[in-house]
Amino acid sequence: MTPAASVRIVITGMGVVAPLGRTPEALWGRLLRGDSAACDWPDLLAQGYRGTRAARLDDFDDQAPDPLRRGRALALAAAAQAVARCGAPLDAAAAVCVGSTLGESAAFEAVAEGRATVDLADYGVASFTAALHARHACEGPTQSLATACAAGNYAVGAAMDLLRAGRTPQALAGGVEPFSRLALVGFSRSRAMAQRDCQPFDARRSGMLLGEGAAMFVLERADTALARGARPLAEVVALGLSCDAGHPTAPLGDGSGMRRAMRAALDQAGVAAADVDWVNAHGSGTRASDAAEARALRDLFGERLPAVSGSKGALGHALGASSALELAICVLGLGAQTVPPTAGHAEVDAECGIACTRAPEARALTWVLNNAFAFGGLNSALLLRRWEALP
Amino acid sequence: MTDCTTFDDAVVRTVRSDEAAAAAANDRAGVLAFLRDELRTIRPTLPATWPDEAEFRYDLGLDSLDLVELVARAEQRFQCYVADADLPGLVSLAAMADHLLGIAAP
Amino acid sequence: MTASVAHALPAPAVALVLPADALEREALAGAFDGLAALMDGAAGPASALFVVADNAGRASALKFWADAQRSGVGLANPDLFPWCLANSPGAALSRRFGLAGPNVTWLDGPAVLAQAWQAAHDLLRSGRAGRVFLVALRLGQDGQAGALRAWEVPAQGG
Repeated sequence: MTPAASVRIVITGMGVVAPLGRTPEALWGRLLRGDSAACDWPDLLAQGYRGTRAARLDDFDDQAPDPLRRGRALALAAAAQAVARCGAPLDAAAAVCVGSTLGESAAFEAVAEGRATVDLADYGVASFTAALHARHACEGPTQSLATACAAGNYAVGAAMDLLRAGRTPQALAGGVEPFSRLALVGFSRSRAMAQRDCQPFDARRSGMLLGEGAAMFVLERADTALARGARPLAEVVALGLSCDAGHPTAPLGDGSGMRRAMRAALDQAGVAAADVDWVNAHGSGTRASDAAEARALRDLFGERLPAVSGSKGALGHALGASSALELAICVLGLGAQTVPPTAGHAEVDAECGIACTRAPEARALTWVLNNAFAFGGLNSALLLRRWEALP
Repeated sequence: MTDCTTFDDAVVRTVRSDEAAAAAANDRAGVLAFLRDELRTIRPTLPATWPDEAEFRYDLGLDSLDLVELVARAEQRFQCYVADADLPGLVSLAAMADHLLGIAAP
Repeated sequence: MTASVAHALPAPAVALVLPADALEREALAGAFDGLAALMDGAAGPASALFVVADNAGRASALKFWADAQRSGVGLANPDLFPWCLANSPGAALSRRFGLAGPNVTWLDGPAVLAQAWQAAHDLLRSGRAGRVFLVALRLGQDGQAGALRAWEVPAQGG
């Protein structure tokens, strides 16, 4: 582990807005029950969309009166929770790092349809970052990560790096993605959508379902957090990154890029694969991606696979928010020492060979990997550790 | 025009009574030529011609996204929809043309 | 931001004009030759690519959605969809030059470029990459030409 990496970074506040719950506790409770937010949406059918099943927030419109600013509303709501729960207002010098895939997709759709004439420069990912920066009166650096379905991991990793380098005393970081009709059409017409439900690593899996949401975190150095009396929820240890450099959308079939990202996270932390207790898989439910990830997991862990779970059967694929929502699940799992069930996973696929959790599993959990893989072959693996004070 | 818009992949049909599209769909040679031309724009490295029965993946080295794109262009051209379940059978120009002729006919 | 990064970046190794109003795919394809002298030979897992993009994905997203309205969303052509994402140029560059290390795209270009430079140094110092290429990209838009600048971030210095 490098000297910089030895600086311990912790999460002290967390907020989520997800189809299964508007708070971390609500989300966790429904996950443990095996619930799924996926359902058919009459408005999508009426509007002629081929894929009408999705995981959406069905009662968030009151908090997002401007449909072109739904993402910003999600970001603000999740961040408000995180800051409230960290025990103190954010430091004025705090950084803000936000990841998203499309930003305010509805604004792009409206402009393309001729329904709106807004300046789209004000509706991208940076608009979420700017809104949070202003709302919480931060003066620290800002970063808007446009790394697609891995953006949440990237944003938290960026915050971790800023904190370790001493460029900020505190950071607000996470992922945000409002429901995107553009993405619905894109994935649907690319034949990536499930015939019914998302079934991670299942023998009958047929594709993904689209979701939405936001998850935001307050991160800080462990020493300063403890000094002010904050209670760390989990430790963020390393972010492993790689790029397949192979295909615009499909992953490398041998999972080598995914494996390299996981390996990189472990190597940065000086952790052996055998020490990992749980992998929150990307598990998008597509034939190709799950097969590649399964190969990567088997190649990395060999015969000693840790517990594997996935949440996209429960929450859908929330694109830029997905890895952030799943990071929240990892934090909750570490706190409860429980791996949640994998909604949609019923039959182990012979090709994948990954038996995901099907019920809550109480386990001794210390090390967790949060995988997130994106269009363009971007691979990320965020390594977390259960918080414990070390001598 | 009449639209049947029941998006059930088990029985899929989105058919518009577009006379030009229907007429085009009746001409197998025309369908094959269309598919071949479109595929060459998707993959410019393809040869000038190849057998109608040559398999997309094994003989021509195409990937799933090339084929998804080709199917999408055919759907637009012939105003029909190819169900997900039917995609695996579309292994060649001939197979695809025959399938399109079957579902796009008025 | 540390004082060592507050100064302006060095002159780019590559500076290209991108066509006005070209889609991302065409604009990037036209830039490959100009970038070859910088990036050829760098293929491998130790080569990282950082992109700071001003408006990447916008043009393709607007065209993709407008086309989908014309064809009907049920018959939309998926070809442009991957290019609707802001990280599509970074992904295209990684494919063209085989850059298989960390690949990051930031938005909000001018304010972030110095941070990206600093992050590149962090990556090199920590051994997470052996080489880091930084690309600042603004696609042509509204009749105005775009611009691409590229550097290989040196291992030493801040």
